[in-house]
Amino acid sequence: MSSRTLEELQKQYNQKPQEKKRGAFGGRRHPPHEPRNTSKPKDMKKTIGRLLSYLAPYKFRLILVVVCILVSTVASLMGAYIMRPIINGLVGQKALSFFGFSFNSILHYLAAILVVVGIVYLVGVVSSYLQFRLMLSVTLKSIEKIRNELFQKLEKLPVRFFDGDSNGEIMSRFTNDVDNIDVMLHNTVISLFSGSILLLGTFGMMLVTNIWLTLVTVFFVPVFLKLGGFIAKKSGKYYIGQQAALGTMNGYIEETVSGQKVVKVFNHEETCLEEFSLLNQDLRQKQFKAQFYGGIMGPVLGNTSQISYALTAGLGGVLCLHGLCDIGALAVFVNYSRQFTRPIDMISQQMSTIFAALAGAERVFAIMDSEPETEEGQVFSEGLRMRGDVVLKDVTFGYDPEKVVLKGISLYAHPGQKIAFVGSTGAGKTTVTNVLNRFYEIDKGTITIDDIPIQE
Amino acid sequence: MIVEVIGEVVMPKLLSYIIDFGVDGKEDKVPAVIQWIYRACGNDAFVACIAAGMILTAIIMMIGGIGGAYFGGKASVNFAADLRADVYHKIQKFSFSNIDKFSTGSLITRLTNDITQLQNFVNMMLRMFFRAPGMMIAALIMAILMNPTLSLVLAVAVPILIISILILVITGFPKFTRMQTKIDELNATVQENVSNIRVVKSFVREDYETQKFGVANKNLKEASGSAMKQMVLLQPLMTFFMNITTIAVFWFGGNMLLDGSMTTGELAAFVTYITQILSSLMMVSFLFVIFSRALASGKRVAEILDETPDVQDNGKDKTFTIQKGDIVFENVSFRYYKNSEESVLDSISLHIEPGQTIGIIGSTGCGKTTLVSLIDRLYDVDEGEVLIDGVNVKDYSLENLHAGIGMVLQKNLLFSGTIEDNLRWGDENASREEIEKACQSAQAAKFIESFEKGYQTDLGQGGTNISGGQKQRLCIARALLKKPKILILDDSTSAVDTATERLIRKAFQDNLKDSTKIIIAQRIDSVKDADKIVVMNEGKITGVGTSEELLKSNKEYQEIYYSQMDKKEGDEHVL
Repeated sequence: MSSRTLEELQKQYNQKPQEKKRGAFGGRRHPPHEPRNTSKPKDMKKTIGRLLSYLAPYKFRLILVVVCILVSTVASLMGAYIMRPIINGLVGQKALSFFGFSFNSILHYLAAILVVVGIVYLVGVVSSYLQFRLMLSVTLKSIEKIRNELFQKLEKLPVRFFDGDSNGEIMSRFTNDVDNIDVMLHNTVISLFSGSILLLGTFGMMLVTNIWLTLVTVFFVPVFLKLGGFIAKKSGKYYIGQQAALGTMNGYIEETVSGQKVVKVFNHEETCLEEFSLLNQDLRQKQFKAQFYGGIMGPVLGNTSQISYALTAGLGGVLCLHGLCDIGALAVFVNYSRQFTRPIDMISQQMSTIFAALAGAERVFAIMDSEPETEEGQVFSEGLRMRGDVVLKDVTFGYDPEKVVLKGISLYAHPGQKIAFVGSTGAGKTTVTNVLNRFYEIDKGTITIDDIPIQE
Repeated sequence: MIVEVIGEVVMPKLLSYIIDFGVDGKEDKVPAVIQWIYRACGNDAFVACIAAGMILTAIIMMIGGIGGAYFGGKASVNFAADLRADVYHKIQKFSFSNIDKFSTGSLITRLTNDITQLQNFVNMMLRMFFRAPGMMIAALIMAILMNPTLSLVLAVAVPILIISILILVITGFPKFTRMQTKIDELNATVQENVSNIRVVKSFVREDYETQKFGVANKNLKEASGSAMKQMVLLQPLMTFFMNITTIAVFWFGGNMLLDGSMTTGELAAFVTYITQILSSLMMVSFLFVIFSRALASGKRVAEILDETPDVQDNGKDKTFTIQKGDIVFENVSFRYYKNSEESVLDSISLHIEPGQTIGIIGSTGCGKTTLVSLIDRLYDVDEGEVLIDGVNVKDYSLENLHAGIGMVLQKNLLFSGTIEDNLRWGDENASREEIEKACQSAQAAKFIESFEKGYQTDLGQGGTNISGGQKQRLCIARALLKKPKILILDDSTSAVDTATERLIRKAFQDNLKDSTKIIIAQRIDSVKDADKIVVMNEGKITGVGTSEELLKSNKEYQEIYYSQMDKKEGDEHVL
């Protein structure tokens, strides 16, 4: 066989989700190589709500976390602001007063401020430690609960479910998907929240410090969003391409390496190498673009913020010269204007984590929501010894509704009898034992053991 | 990258000029150029000039950063692509025992996950490894140049910070390893349950398994809790040190400022440098964590690259090809693990003449598959020789050897693509008639034609959409297309019913008269009509002969024969 072209390979190894037979999964199936991070969650609101319900039992702790975040953010804002009275005091522009106290000696003044700063810092550090610690315990408990529920559900699902999804697929729910949720709960919740508070707080402090300089920063916000959005769109596009190429590549590797022995026996190594390098080239190009756009995000945004920093500094300098601003304020303000872009950056970085986690959560919940085996018969379940009188009456069954495997089967097996099934491949021998064990529900007819239908 | 770093440290310096000159009007202790600009322009214009200088620096930095991303991206992508290609090439050269040693599953993870991990690391490293230390050193130099005395604060702070990071990382490391083992345990439980769900359900073990999982899950929670607690400490601790250092700088710096040995602008710039130094220190420590992870992946990949394929293709004469299919085993012994005592094959000698049909029978694990694998040189013998047409198999080139032998493996696989694509593995230039003929011989033509798209039917990954028996017949057809001089069927009709199997054997006799045919089977029926039957037990040949001869002389053959005859008669009735 001559090697296939790139298009053929891509088509074969990166197939779209196939319509599944008749699954416990509502016909939805994620092929193993689907790029995980790009699959956007379908019903975000519902998924978020459900995720939050896992956090609900820890309300008290979560409130504490919020308080801690508030305290630490305020502390960090205050810590930055403190430079202003220090510098002003040192330069001697203002009277040496701090919180209504006036000082005679500049050294006393400095010492007093620094002590206050130290306390503020300490409070900030302690509360930020507490917020991480509390969130950690909440996350660990919620994740443990999600894992347990998922596993319990798995044990209750009918065998049919396991036919539809490959084992690796189910495994990846436990590993990748739950991990993604884990990461999100750990970092994102805190970052998002403290990011937004920091953003608001910084903005407020900027206004307090100097309105004119704030305008410069405000002017740069849309520039930021535009630039960031443009790069994010580009890199997002190439990222999807990269994930698809990676999926194709991994699918190809998985198949050919699993079949390596066959490849050898048929002297197929050369073809495999050719096809492999075709895919590898493709991946190389797409990956480069994705990496490049991902990589310039930081420098472009970072330096745009440097420009805004420079403009602020320049304008601030001029304002100072004309007495519209004090030096301490300028020093503080330039720091704020740098800080201002950080939360925006932080939040935009978290977006991909959030999407990955929500998509993962949706897949996890999909398992939790699939129909379990129905268990109605409680009456006979205990204390009753089976004699082993098996009757199949008019049993009709097919794994696939269109393809009937057992057609109106009737048979008896009396206790102690030995019954053998003989027939050519695909005749339905194993299927009879499968429905007898209720691994699958029959479509028509009844199966009774000791005159009791197996459903009971 | 370097441009960025320099820019990053120049910025605060420029700012200090604005504060000092523009506003304070101090003129001493600055480079002549700046003084000159100041004198030439006057206050307002000077501030504007410096601001313009800062903007220019920012733009240069942006270009530097984009360049860094470009080359960094290029380097890491190429690194990964080349590495992936190297590993894949290496695997293509692996013998069966090399593959067995690693197991296919682990080969796949190494090729996919581990390489991705390494690529991420290289990418990060290029972006941060030079940047963080570079920035640290540059900021350190600037700080010392600006004010050596004040830099002494750093001499205290930096070592303390480094030591505390090290303590955290070192004590945290075993905790992370423990967490990883717990994750593996949890995954093992899930894996076991998912793949054996029928057994779990048949024995009503759901509750027990759920409980077992609960324990594993709780262990994981505790292990990751203790590991994460450690890491959670890291950030607040860093911030704490950073803050203390800042306070110290303000205190000492403030005193110096009052002495007049330092300017306000310098103090502001110095604080920025401190922040830069400490945060790049944090980045470096973070890098070490990633590095240790990448190291593990790197080791796993290197293992593949370092493995020597133990079947070397050093056939003396590339022109040797298999002409007749005469096979001789001379005193052959073989072990899968070179240091194990038990031989899988123990001094086997056997002569198979061209055109004969040979049946090999014996209990599971007696070495049947191993014996035929040696013919195709899937493994190399430890002692003795295997000769085809009087030439040692090691003297054929592997390509010619494999080309002359059609082997249907016990665990056979089909690949993504159409049925025809798969069949063409046997012979890529086969005509339509040849393909159809091979399928007829393998009794596959009928079911293929019953498919809507016939030979163009797409086989899902690995042929998941056809039955086991159909798969086996396609595999036989694929081997037949090679028109091999030697055809080996290793238990390849186990899922095919007896009637169809008989038709396949008949087709062999009619269409493959000149080829040597070796059939391994469990069913007496499959080998009964062979020219010669080889009976094996525990790595030894216990008897060779026709069915009648063996029935008289060989005890094992008698046992197998009579144990299956009852069943066989039953079969015959149904058919």
